[in-house]
Amino acid sequence: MRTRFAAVVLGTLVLAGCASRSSPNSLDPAGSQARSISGLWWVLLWTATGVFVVVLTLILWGAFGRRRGNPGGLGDHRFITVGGIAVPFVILAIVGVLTVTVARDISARPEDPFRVEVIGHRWWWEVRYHDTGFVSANELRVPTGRPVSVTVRSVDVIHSLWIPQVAGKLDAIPGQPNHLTFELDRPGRITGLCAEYCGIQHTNMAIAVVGMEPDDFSKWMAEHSARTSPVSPTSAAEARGEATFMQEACSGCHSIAGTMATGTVGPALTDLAARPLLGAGAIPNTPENLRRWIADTQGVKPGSLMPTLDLPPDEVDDLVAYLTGLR
Amino acid sequence: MSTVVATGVPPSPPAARARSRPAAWWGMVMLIVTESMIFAALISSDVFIRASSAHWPPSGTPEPELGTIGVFSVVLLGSSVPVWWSERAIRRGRMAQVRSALGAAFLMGAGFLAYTIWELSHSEGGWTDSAYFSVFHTIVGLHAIHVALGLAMSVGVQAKAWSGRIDAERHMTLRMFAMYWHFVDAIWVVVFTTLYLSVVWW
Amino acid sequence: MTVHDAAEPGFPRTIGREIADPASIGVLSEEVARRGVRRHLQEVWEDHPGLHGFFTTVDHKRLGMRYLYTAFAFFFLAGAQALIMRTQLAQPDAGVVGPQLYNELFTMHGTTMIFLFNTPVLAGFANYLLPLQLGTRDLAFPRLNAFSYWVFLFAGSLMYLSYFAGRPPDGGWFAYVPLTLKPFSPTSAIDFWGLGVMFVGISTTVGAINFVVTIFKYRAPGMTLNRMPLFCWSVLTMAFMILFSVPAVTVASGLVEFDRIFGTAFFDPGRGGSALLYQHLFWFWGHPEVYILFLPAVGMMLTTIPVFSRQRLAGYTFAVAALVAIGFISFGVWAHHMFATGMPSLAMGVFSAASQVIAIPSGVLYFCWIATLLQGKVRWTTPMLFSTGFLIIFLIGGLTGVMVSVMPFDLQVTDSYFVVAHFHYVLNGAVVFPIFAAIYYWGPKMTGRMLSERLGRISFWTMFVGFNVSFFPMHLLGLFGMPRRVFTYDRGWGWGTLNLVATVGGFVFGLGTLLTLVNFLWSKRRGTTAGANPWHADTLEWATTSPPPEYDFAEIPVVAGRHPLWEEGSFPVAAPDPSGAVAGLDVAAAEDREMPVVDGIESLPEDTMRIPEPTWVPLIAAGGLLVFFLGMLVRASLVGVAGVALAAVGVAVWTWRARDDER
Repeated sequence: MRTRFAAVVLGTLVLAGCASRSSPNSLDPAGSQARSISGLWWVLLWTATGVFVVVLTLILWGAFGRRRGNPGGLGDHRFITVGGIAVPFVILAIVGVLTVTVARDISARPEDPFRVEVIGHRWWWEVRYHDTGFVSANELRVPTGRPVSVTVRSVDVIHSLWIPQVAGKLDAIPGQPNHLTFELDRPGRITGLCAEYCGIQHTNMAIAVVGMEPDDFSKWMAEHSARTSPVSPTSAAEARGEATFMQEACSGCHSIAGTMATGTVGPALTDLAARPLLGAGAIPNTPENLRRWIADTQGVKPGSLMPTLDLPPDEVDDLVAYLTGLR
Repeated sequence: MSTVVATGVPPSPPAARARSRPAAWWGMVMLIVTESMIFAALISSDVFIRASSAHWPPSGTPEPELGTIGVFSVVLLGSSVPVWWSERAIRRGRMAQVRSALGAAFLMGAGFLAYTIWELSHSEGGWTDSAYFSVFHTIVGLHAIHVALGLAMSVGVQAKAWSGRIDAERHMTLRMFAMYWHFVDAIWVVVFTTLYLSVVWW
Repeated sequence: MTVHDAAEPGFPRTIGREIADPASIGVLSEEVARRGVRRHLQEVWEDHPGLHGFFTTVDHKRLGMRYLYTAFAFFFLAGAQALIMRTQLAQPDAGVVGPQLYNELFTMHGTTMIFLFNTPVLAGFANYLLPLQLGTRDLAFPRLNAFSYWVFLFAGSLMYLSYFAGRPPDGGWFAYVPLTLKPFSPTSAIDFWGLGVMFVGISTTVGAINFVVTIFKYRAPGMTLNRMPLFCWSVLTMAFMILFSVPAVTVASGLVEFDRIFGTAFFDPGRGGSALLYQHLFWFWGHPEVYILFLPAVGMMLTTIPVFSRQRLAGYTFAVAALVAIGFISFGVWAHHMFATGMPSLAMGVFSAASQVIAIPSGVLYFCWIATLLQGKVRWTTPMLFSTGFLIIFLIGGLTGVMVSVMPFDLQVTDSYFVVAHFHYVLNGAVVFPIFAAIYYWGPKMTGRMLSERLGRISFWTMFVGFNVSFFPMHLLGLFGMPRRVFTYDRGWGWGTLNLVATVGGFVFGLGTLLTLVNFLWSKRRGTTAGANPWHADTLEWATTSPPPEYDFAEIPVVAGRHPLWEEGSFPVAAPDPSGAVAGLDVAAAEDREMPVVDGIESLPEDTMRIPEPTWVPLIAAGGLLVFFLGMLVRASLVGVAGVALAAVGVAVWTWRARDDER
């Protein structure tokens, strides 16, 4: 039992490193809050392991030893009081102090944070940038090295925003905005997930969190404001695709900044082509997959609130051409 | 065959010892405990919703009127007096008093119930209009159901009283009914304070 | 008082009487048997034959075993649901089941395990054992007991009717709003859940009332609370917890149903309601509930470990205090299920601290067990294997429990597979393993036959290894970011291996449970005869035959210590007293279908109670409630009214017949 446990712990350390870079591994922190909590975890693990070893030894000693009188000369009462009350009390007091310390660490209110709003929908995340009013979906871009303050809301049921590599989770509750603060240390992409069961496609509700160096980020933000003029189609197919988009049901649910598509039911598609995934993490973002998504939405993400549109294949191709140009 | 009773337990003639509370009494106490917790959960829900609201009642909803309900509250709480009286009377074997006391309590309770039903059906808002009215109707309605159950119990006890199935020595159902009825009245004190008095006076 | 190893010869003898067969103490002495009383007792106590008897019985033993059979049927259903889920998760994008079916599976798995297995199975053991351990003949309210069983059966059936309607609930076992309200769950699926929960709560509640009053008023003479078996103490604590907590979940599910059926606004923020209100109500019950499950399991372990250490439990008073402390503290920790909802930090701190404090009484219990083990000499029977398995598994579960009580840490691992691992360690390991120990320990008392030790050992090791292989990796998966209630996961995140391991472990564990099922069924017919006290145990249920006669004890035992069957000297049984001072303790009382009523504190007999005859009334009352809930389900108010009327008729007849014997 003990050897198995040690092997598992070592395995943890190995696997912690092995889990893929973009996997939402809370033991591979990319931000200060997650780092505090991860450190806390290791302390808790070693404490628990110590207690486990001691208590297990006592149990096995008792179970396999010969019959004896009062153990170690202590009376029943002393043995139980020391082992069952005094020692646990001390350990728990230490754990309690750790709790308060780390809790205070992670709830500190930053000055001048980068503000953004993340709104849970069934089954995608709406992202609104406070500074420029830019609206996106399923992807959150933030400057590295600066505190980010996220207002977490929901328009329908309870969701939960969980980006394990930067912070603990926070529920998105309709009628009650919550506030999450984190800081991303390094550029690159990390993964966030929905962590509160919210219906049939709860599983496919990922959000890509992309850290950018502050200069790169400012450039990106400037290019993506609420009033950006639309990307002009560069080919006939794209032009047809744009026309189809505006005429068919698409623009009734989706919005593309600077165009007459202003639907709010579904995710904004302004920078669709730049996103790594489609359908809030359902499938990777490739033209082939985009075609599949449009032609057979319910097949890709059954239960999704986007109906499968019955469009002729060449219209689908045009739409794909148009949408893959949206950055 | 030996007639010695077991070691360590002195026999005691029943007449010399006061009887402790019987099982059925404890059963009713436990039932009251758990029913009280139902009301506690609902009252807590009211407090919780109220604490999360800017105004209470919500703007646009008038405060409850205290006049008539106040009168009927006195009627209901007053009905505990004849119930208490009937318990005293039956211990003395005064069955006529028992029957009239139970009858009086029944009429008072029925009056309260009738008014409650009228009040709920003529309420300022339906229970689907807002959380305020949902909570109000549910708590007052549930209490009314408890009053109705008490009245049904009262009918049963009165039937036993009239047919001689209970008397000075044997009247556990009357005791249990009395306990239940006092509980219903006590709950009304809490409900009335929370849903009426504290809304108007606070 | 000196403790005496009951394995030695010289079994206690009755005062003033020679008994040929020492093991038949509390049943019938030869002299009494000679008088032909045995046959008369049979006639007075036995149920009607066949189905008539089946539907009308009020015998706590028959009803207790019925609870066990029914609960275990649900156990295997829920287990199958779990294994289908594990098959789906064994590899990413396995395609075994789609999201809708998966969501139904995890909802019904959790709902079944908590409401239809764990709670009723422990109630079933309490039903069976309480009168026997207390030295009396039935529970305080036998007809209420029958009613409680029928309500459980009907409520569980109502929930599973959802499968036949093609609408199994899919809102998760705690059914958070707004997801479970009409706009987001438009079909009747959630109603099966909400109405089912309200319905089954009635069974749990009246069962608790029965247990409390039995323990207060129907103990053997001389059995003061200070001498009561620890299992009974755990049931007493559990029952009080039920009375105070179940109303909260009744209200929670009731208000959801009101919002769904009538359109009320309790949980609609647009009309002034609050989604969080539901969580507070639910968890106010939800947390005590897990201790409601844990405490009787602990009570079983406080029974088996001393018996198989051949040593009385060290620290009886400590153990009682720990049980009661857990009962109280468990009401103050519920919001630790809500740390991620954005509560004010002061509140979170309080709940975090209270959740840590509750570890201390658990620590006390551990040291009572350890001291007992250290002082005794263990006999490695199957029940002892399961008991030791419990000690190890609950140790891990309790430690991860302290971890998740640390609020900042919980913010990472709540709603992830870490907490799934934690609660399976405590609910599966620390409740199911004791239940299996109980099957092997008390099974012989119930059936009169020993289970196979060999098959028992294989079953234990299969379950123990399978359990740990399945659930331990889930701690890691949670830390690596795997959320709960997902039907698949990304191929690139490296979770496949751990999930596959967990699946294999799950199947091994399931196989282990089946082995015990086979063992039980086989040994009912073919097991060796158990005799009255095969384990040389100390409590009163072993002072009568296996299985006990319908009347449990022909003569009520009188108790002078905590370990009646381990006392030195004679085992006291009340003999007939012509002065009539101690009524209800002798065979004549048994012939009148009576049992003694004691005062609650000193446990001195002061009256007798006549146990009701078998009757249809509890079935009718429960049936009326079933019709009522079905009416609510299909929104047919006439059906609902008919149901209430039927139940009312049952209750009216019931109370009319209630004896007004008491002052």
